[in-house]
Amino acid sequence: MAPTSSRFSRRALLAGFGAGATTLALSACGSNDGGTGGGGGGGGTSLSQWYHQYGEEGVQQAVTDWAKNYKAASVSVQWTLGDYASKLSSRLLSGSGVDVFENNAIDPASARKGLYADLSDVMDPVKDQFSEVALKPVTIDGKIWGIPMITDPQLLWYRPSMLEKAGIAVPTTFDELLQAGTELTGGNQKGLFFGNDGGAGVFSQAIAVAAGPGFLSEDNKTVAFNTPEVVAGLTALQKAYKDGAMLTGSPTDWTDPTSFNAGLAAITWQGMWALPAMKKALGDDLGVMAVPQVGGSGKQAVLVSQWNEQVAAKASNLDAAKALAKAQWVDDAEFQKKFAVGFGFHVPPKTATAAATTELQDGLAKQVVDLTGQWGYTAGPFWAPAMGTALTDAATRMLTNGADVATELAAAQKTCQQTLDSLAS
Amino acid sequence: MSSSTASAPGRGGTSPAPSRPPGSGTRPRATAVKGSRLAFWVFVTPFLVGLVLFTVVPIVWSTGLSFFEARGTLTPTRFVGLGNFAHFLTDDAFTNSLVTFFVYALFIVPVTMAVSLGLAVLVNGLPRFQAFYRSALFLPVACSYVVGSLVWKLALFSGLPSGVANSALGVFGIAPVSWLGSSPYWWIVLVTVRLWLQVGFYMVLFLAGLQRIPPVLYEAAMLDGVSAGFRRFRYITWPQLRPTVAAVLLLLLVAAFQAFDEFINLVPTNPSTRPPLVYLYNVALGAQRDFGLGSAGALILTAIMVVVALLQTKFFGFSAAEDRTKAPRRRRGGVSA
Repeated sequence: MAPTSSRFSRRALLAGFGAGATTLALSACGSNDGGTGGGGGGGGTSLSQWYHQYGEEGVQQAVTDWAKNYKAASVSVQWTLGDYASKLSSRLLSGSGVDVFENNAIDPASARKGLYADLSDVMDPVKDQFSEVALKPVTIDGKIWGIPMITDPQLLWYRPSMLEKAGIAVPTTFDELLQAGTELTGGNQKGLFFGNDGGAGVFSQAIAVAAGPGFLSEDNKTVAFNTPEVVAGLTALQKAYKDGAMLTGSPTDWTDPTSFNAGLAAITWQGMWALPAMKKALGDDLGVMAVPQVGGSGKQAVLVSQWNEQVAAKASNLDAAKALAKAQWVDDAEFQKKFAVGFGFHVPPKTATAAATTELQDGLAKQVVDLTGQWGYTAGPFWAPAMGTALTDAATRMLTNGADVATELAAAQKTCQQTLDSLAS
Repeated sequence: MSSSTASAPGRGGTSPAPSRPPGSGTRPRATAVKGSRLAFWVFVTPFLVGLVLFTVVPIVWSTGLSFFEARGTLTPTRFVGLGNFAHFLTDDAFTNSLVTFFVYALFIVPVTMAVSLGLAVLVNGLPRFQAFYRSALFLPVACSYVVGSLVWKLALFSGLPSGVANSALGVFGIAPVSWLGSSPYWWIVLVTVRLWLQVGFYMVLFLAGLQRIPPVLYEAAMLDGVSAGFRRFRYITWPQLRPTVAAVLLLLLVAAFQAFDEFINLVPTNPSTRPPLVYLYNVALGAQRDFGLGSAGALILTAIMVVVALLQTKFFGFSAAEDRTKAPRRRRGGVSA
């Protein structure tokens, strides 16, 4: 009895171990990105919808509730923590696990390789309802690959009380802006907060726009940012950095208003999404302005980023996935309004929806919407990530190493043109 | 010379078989435990499958992909031959990432070596509470690099006057420093976080090396008048630790090559602090998603690592260590003869 029992136990143990190891291996193939929600609906069709993690509370619950109430299919919401772009990219490449997803960087390579579903049939009949600046990032080779969800204006915010205390008027020129930054610096307060990198990431790009040329030519064939005006603007930025006018090394970066709300800087670069948090912390002690014109041939600038709803080309049910994306981001104006102003503040890309969103019709929100309408700039899908990296690298070397601005900008232009040429081939 | 092959058991050799210990059979497999073969495969198969699926296949696929254009796709698109490899010869960003590695390795390797060896010698010499200090110093190894980086960034080396480091500087009247905003300060942050996270591990390796040094050597040295202090370390401890030093050096170099987490969390966009792995991550797995180029870069980086490891082994490695420990004996022998 004993030997038999012993042998059985050993085999059972081995079998159990093998099964356990297999289960572990299989479970490792899944993801633990923040959990899923939703479900319900029906029709026998199941769809997976992906979101990145929004900073504002309540967004996850809102999209989960919407998914539960959707009747044409059972929708599971994947709320993705961490590096959303990489996780999404790997799922799109593997061709499974994601049907409908949001994306803020639609790129020509992925569109041409067939990772995205062509949504022209959904968008062509309604594209006149969307703002022009919102359609640019989703249009590649004459086709529309995504439905704009929200547009996010990014611009300059300031503390009027701090300027008043220092006896400084609201800057109207670029030189005045950087001068104000220097004068507002003292004690534990810095004049400017353009990000922990001193503005190499986003503000250098704002300078390229405010100096006139933007990133690329209208036909997306030529890199446009290497002009004397941009060199002059970046040289001025370099001097402000060297003079210590900028907040750097803050625990939170520019996308989070905590440092600005805490009084660590008088003027900050920030997205409109942070307006509710800033209003709550600062009350009326808050003002907003576009980036002043740089040089004689420039114009004021508001950078516009965007999230878009897309469908995976290898979606489990392409028609159902397209129907879901359309129902949510073309048809359901009430949800679009709630999504735009219910948590952080964004601008609905559909002009009628934006006009009907009362929260955007007065105060600072209206100022931002008006400034965006007047000076809003978006680069479009041909401004590839590699080009953004090249320009950011050049600006970082200018600021942190004191590298020659003209030389660095010329090198960045060369790299960007090579990338642009490769996209055209 | 050939007798060893001819007399091998079971090979039908004509030479007399070497004597066997009494009771040893001619069929060694007969002594195997029943079911051990099955157990072997049950244990090994899951890991073998994992190794093939997640290591061998990706390496082979990546090697193939490196000869093709593959942007935004894992499927080869257009054959470019050695074009992807040639790209790195003219890519300043890649060259700069290698420079970053060398600068980083120049700091982290010797400093880790010195600190972990010093701690090991101190802990080894403790008469009491050795286990406590060993555990306490080893504890940071359990912390992830991401967590360590965040603690360093948010608390210790925040650029704000309220950060721990800046508060300490403030006591001496020194203005706050933007630690991650200018050189060489960011190297202090990058080196110290890794030092804190890895020095305990290498200390344990050195402790193991110290504890395998025969006490008789120290007794003999004492009789020869080398009782304690630096001379004892120089003439007894250090030569005996050479194999451990060689292993630690190799591990430290490989770890420096693999530096990623602290760089991506502390200085994510700074080109002056972008080691090779971060650079390749941006090319292949980041927003660029250029898998052909990324694969070629990964192969080049692997080749560089292999060459560095071989050179290190040749000049400082195990065989060199053995030769050096033998060399004095030969010299002594020559003199006495």
